Parts: sequence; structure tokens; C-alpha cells
Amino acid sequence: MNIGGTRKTDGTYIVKASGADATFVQIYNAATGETILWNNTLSDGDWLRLKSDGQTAEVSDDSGSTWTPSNGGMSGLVPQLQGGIDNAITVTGVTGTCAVNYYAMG
Amino acid sequence: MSDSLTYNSIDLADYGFVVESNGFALASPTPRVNRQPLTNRDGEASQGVSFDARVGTVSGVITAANLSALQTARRNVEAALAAGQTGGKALTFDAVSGKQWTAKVTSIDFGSETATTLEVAIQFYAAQPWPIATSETEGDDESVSPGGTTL
Repeated sequence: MNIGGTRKTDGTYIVKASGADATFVQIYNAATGETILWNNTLSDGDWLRLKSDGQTAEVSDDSGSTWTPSNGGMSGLVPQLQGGIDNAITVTGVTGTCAVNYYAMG
Repeated sequence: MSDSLTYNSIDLADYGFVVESNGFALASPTPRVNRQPLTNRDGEASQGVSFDARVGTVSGVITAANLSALQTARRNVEAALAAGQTGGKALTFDAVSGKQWTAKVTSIDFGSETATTLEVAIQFYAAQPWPIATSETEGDDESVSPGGTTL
């Protein structure tokens, strides 16, 4: 995915498990070389929100209305996003969807 | 929309402030080559270029209907800018659409004054020199599978 701007900026990843529980959710950005492994179980229907700003993980069981911190079991870095080039972001360990939100920088 | 600025969600246009020159947004952060001397070897190691903080002065003028209103406007501007005492606040300019800095006020200087106008120079400091977009881009939900999906 390409983002606007020219500088590296923070990304927010919202992973939604759908159809099965997810374990060992991993997100890798080839553009920055950063990988986060969230070594927990995301129940079917629950959402996981990972932010590179502050390196936080949160889980929601009410479709994003409320979030509960879930930083335990994290290893690596929640990837930032590099402006101006393609960010090949690979998501593994989950059946469902993933959306990436960001504020373009520069 | 006038050519003003908004700091900590307070639009200084509400107090009659208009930007005349923007030495903050137009400032060029100084590039810094990260250098490291090497022991017993010629030359040095370097690790790319970083940029210093952005520091610049925004000059403008407060205009009011009379001297009393001007003094009130001045106090309001000072109060709005004082929010930076508790940390950097969002700073946007009408003339720089879609960009936002997180900045602190490092000085406020009042210049020439008439019965209805007062010149103001505000120096801002932004530790992160590059602005972010004022609105978040929300990506679409894209299907992923356990074996790995590249977005």
C-alpha cells in the first residue's frame, strides 16, 4: 500500500477475527523491516488494534466501542509506515480482515 | 476564512489575528549527518541524515474596533498561546491546508501599537519538524488469511 506524505509515520492496524479464533497474529512491513508478533488469542468476532505510536495493543469485543489493553505477549515492533514508497504489509495468523489507518507526514 | 492560525483548537482569527509572514511553516529544519569518528582509522562512520527541530517565528497583526477591544484581544491571544506550557499543542495555519504540527510557544513579542492594531511575533518550536496530515486516512478492511496476506 502507498501512503501520502514523504516521511515515516505511525500506523494503526485494526485486525478483525472472523470465522475462527486467531493466535500468533503477526504484521510485517517490508518497507521498514519491522515486525510485531502478538502472541495471544483473538476470539472469533473480536478486534485487535495495534498502534506503532506508543507500541500498544488493545482488544475489543464490542466492535470497537471499547478497547482493553492487551500488551502482554507482544514481541518486536508495531511497524511504522514509510511515506512515498510502497509498504508491503503482510498479515499472518488470522482469518478475517485488517485495516491500516494513519496520518500522512511531511 | 482569514489567513490566521489555530493553536490548541483555538482559532486566533476569533481575536482578530491575521498572519502576515510565516517563518515557522517556511522554516527549513537543519539537516544533521550522524557522524562517528573511528579509532585508529581514517575517516568516520555515518548513519544517514536526521533533521533538527523546526523553530520559526510567525508575524502578524491583531486588529480590533478600539483600544479597549484591542487589549482584550491581546489578553485572549496570550491566554490561547499559554496552553503550550503543558506540552506541545496542535498548530495549523489557514494558508497551509491539511498539515498539522505539534508545537510549543517559545516567545511572544508585541510590537508597534495603534488604537486599533497591534503587531505580534510568535515563535513556535516543534520537536518533530515534519507536519502530519490533519485528518486520518482510514484504510479499508481487507481480507486476510492465517497463511499470510500482503496488503
